[in-house]
Amino acid sequence: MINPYLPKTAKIKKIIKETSDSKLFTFQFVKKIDLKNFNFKHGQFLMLGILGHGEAAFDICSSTIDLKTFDLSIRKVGSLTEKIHKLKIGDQVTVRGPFGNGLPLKKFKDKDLLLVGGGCGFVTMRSFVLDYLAGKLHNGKMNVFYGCSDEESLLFKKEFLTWKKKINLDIVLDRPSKKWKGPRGVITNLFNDKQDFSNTVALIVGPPVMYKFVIEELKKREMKDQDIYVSLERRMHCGVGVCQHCAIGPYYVCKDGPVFSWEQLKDIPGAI
Amino acid sequence: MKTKELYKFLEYLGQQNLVWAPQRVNGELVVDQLENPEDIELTSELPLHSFKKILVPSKEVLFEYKNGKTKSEINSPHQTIFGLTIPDLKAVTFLNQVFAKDPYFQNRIKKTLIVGHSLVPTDNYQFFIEKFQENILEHIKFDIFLAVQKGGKFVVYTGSEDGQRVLDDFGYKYYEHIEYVGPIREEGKDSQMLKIRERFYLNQKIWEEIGDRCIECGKCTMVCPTCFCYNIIDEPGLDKDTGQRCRAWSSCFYTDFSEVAGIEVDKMKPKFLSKTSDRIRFWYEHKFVRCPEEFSLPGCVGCGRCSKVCPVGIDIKKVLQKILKNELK
Repeated sequence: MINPYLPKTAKIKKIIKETSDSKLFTFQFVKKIDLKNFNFKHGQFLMLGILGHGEAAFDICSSTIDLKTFDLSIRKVGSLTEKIHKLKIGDQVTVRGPFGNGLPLKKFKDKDLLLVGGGCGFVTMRSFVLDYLAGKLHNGKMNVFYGCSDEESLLFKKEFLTWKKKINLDIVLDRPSKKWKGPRGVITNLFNDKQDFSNTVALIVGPPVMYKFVIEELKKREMKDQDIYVSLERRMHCGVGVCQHCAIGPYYVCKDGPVFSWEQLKDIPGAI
Repeated sequence: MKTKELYKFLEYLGQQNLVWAPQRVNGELVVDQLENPEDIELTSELPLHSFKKILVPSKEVLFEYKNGKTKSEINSPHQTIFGLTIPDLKAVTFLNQVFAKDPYFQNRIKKTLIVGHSLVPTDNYQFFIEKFQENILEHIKFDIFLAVQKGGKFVVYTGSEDGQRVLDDFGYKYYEHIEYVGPIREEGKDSQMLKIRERFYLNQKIWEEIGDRCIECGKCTMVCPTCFCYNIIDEPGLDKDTGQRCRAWSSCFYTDFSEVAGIEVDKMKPKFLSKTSDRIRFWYEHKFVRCPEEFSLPGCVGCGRCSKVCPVGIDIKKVLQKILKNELK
């Protein structure tokens, strides 16, 4: 019987300080067998921990093409993430997973993809973008909407020039500096009447308050419930659909999610 | 089997390993280690705290760690739980489904001899509770079952090879074997459970009403024989880079149950299930939405312990009646 609680060990290979409170970590499994078996789907997460300080869930944000390492963008917001931010290259962490499902990309190979990311939720989008840039995701167009507080807090900003060669990236800032020439305010400000979402599948990841408003915008454009996907955050402990912390109605975010279609969730109180 | 022989059997079991059984301590019926066979009380009364603590300990070590290396030893002691009523046997059956892939629980239950009896609680919680009939035995998990007869006599059934072996070794051969065929009846899923599931989301006012009364104490989750929510927690040792990762009971009524990382507002972390009505709905959702979906079983065995301990008088039977009153569209 597999013991789902025993973690694997990974080592930090690279750390990039992205903002005042966010770092992009690159990890590699220590054991060859773990390295060989590692694979994940876009939108899946894993449980990263430090022995003695517990575990938490993080979405994987690297490409699925090079599986020798994996990236997690981690913001310092709690006791575990504070500890993780103190780690140096070569330090070890515990890893369980990947867990959950991802976006069922095979279902809509030829449709356009709209990725709507707010704040930390934008992290999830990077694995989609990187594989799209490499021509390994899907055949349609890719639109990315990113809502963030200010210029300093933008994640992956050094990569944006490369991204923009192949995808459409729209950014809105809530509290930008005077130099900012782009759109201001909330993420729904990025929607306008010229956009054509008739053949599009959307994925939304962001703070709880965001989902309802973005879904409203998409519904106004007559997007179907089964074409709108959301990835949800909840407290996680077991990762295998037993401990109940992440339950929503009949579902577990860790096992049945974190990506759900709006069709699945629309009648469940408290889902968003 | 007569009462005298039952005591001998208990003494025999006690010589092999630890025996847990209901007994009266200061007027209360409790499940505890049985020192003297004659202290056992086989009764239709339910002990307030069930056997749950024995099969799902309030805290257990998942693994120990030292200098970055983890070590897990899964080796439960052999033990006997004697004297479970049918609702509590149903709870064991249910937990066995929940933890079907859990190496810790499976190791423990394999080494636990479970002995049930046929006295049915007289409390009027008729949801999911039934009178003893022989045909329910193939759907509940036990090793030995005692059908209580008049005059201190028992008809003995076995439900597993372990049960048969123990009785053979003890020297009792007048038992009938019943093969466990899984928790679902031939006639299909429980109709009461299906009715509640269909109507669960039709009237959200129920949760607001009881949410106004509930004080989020979590007592119902502690006494419930099927509540098993847990946290995974790290406990560092005294020496550097040593310690253990454990799992420990949690309760969906506790505020940290649904907290997430983020910026604190008024020293409060962001959390889901932010209202009491959300929490009490979540508790009922687990038992009457998620469990039926996952296991085709209700997460409630109808024991009524939650209603007994509730300090504000929330009665599960009345809540379920309210859900059932909702008309399907």
